[in-house]
Amino acid sequence: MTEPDWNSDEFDVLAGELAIGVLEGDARAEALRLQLSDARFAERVEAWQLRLGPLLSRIPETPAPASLWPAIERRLSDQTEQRPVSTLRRWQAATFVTGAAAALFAGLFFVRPSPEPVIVTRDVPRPVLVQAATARLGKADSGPSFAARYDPLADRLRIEADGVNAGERVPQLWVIPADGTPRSLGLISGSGSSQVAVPPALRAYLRPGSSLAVSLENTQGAPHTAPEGEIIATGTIFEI
Amino acid sequence: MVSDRTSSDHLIAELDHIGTGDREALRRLYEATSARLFGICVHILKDRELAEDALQEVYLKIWNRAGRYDRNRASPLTWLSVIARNTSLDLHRGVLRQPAGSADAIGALVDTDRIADIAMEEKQQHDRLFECLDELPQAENAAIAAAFLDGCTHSELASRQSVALGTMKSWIRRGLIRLRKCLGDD
Repeated sequence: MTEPDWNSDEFDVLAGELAIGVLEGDARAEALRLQLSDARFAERVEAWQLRLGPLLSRIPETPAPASLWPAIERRLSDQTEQRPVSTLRRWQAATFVTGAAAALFAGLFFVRPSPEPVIVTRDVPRPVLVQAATARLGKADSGPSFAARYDPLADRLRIEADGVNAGERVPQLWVIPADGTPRSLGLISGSGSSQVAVPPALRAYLRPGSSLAVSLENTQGAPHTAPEGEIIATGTIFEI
Repeated sequence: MVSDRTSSDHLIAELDHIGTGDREALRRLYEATSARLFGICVHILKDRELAEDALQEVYLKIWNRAGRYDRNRASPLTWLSVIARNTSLDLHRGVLRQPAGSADAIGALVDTDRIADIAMEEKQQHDRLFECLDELPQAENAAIAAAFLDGCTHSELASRQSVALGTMKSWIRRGLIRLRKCLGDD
């Protein structure tokens, strides 16, 4: 596997530009696509943000209004039942990996199945199981877990979502084939299961080696044609 | 002022508890950090109501992600602050596409040397970043800080500084390359 650009300044500067937020228009869309399709690039973006994070300490403190904590607590109660604590504990154990090893592990993790598959396939002939787990190790924007199963006979994709905190936004599902360009599979539910009818033009992309990703998008204008919001999960399709 | 409850060790312990589903630990973390994080939300969104929405999102994210905090990558306050910054910017972009923050506020921020409430260990990381930023030409330093703190795009920064777009792009670009070399933590 050759990755000639991986260590280039170009690649890292692009990650830095996305991280600090200066990109706009097509350049931003292109960088967001890269963030979605390349875990190592996403890792670089996060590294830049953590590197510059101490700058935020220069912003003066502002006491939050007293009513805020009760509001947060109410929302916690709403979502607590769905919280995958056991999965989080596993993640916590995994974060003991340090330094260079962590970076390597993040790359490997991209194709590593999640510890607890949500869906076990039984009766569908040659189904495709997608383990779109909580994306990359230690990422500030990794989050919930997803599992997906594609039934090629019905051309339907079934998604199980867990622990998604979408807020005012909606989760949108993408397939990313070898060319790296995300194609929208439409909006999905942030909890429980969703059925996605796969458009004929996209069926060929749902095969091993392609990736699935979920982003959180603003409801206005959703579903979008290219991901604009936060990427909360990515995973590689494989056949079982 | 350095207080115990915002020391890195203390916050790391709270994040550990939160990762196991301890809601009381989240409340304590909120008590210790909400003024810091709300300040960031208010600064970026320039609207208290939106900032309150953002802060709720921030602590729900912390609740969901605490188990994945990695102390080898950033101090807990930095990690929490970046979540607040990103959440506020996401919300801001969703609401309207205008530069957040303000030029005046940034001037004041860049000029101040005071860093409140930071434990020694964390302060060393801070000092390193600020030393490296200080080594940059002033234009590059200011552009990177304004972009990160205000969420300004290339063209917004260019018009703020009354320079050509290409000039601003190369300031940022050169500044990022120099900064990474100086920090040497690639």
